[in-house]
Amino acid sequence: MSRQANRGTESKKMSSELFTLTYGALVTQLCKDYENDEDVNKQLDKMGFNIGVRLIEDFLARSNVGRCHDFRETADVIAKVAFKMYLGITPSITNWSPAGDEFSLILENNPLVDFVELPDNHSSLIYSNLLCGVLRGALEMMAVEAKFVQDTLKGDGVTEIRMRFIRRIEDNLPAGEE
Amino acid sequence: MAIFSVYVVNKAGGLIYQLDSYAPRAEAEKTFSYPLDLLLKLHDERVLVAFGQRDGIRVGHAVLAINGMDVNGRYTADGKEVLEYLGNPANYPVSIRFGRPRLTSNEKLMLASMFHSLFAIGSQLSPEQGSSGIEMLETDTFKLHCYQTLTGIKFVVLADPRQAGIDSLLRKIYEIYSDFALKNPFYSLEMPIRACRGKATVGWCSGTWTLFTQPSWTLGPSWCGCFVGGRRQPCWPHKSLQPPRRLCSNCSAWQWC
Repeated sequence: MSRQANRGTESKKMSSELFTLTYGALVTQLCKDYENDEDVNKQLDKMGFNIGVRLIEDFLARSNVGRCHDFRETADVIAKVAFKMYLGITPSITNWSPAGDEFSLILENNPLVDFVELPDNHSSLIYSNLLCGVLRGALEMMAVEAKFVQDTLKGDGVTEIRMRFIRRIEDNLPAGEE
Repeated sequence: MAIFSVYVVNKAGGLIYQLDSYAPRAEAEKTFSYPLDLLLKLHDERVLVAFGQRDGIRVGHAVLAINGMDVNGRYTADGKEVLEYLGNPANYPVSIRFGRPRLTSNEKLMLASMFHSLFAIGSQLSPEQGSSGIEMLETDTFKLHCYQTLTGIKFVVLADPRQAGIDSLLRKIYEIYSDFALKNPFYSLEMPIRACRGKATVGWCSGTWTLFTQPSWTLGPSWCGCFVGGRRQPCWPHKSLQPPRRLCSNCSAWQWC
């Protein structure tokens, strides 16, 4: 993690098992509350969005990355800095669209789904949909779309998130925007 | 204290957090006899000196206290109008304390939004393409430093002109904001930050800006581990009844307030 040497509070290490268990408890409770996979997916996305809008400040405060000038830089920063900082994994970026506004993040291992198996009655549940919401929330200054294309829980080899840039939202900060 | 105040302004220009550190203000108390040789006027619910600057009482200073009792805007502590009271020769000799008036919270809100607009104007007026807004404003008594994050939050610090290291202080305050405000799920974004139980402040310790956490209020022995301003100081109960000591999380020593 990128921290300064004399950081006031100690860096908190937590076991990833607790994290996986917490996330699992969250998803199963949502399934019980909503009983409909589509609603659960929407809720996870909303929750992820709320996390994302806060996480971006934490990320910017700790990582000192500058402004990204195009979507490729954004993709690089997301994969190499952000995912590394928060989940400890470095997804790879592939499948750029010709216009340069869509790409795929390939995650070899997803810490949220350690030991998880989707039962048959939840076949349309997107278990890690929180991640899509987080990506959307963190990039709320631009409208992006993030969705799961492949999922290891559904039998695919890797987890793939497809991200698409829709537009920049212009009512943002005034200083130095191009 | 080298840092005079900290302001945090949200994306829309609203003030969400403000902190004034204890700074000795220029005040002068004198006894006057009738007639008063200063010209006083009422402005913005305060009684200000309009003319007659002398002996530490300057134009623009406000009447802070009469005969030792703090005035309440334009009224004395008893509810009489200050100007009327001072116009009556029977009340003399009277001791009046003058000083720079403190900003009310409404005024601070207004000034923060004004700064937000000036910041935007600054970045648009700049002849350089893609320039940032106001980063520093220097006067002879203080320097205003501003850091705008990529998300539009501005952190503004007013400090002594000779104080160094304010850039790292601004980054540190950004980190603290992302911890204490954002990690609290009950805090709504862009809303004013309420001082919470775990109030933290930032100070200078061992050559860097560090986070101090305030312990619960206890009376205890007065000695100091760390020191601010380069001087070891005794700890006395602070007159604002805040805890006199803080625990430095950098070196885990008590530090005077």
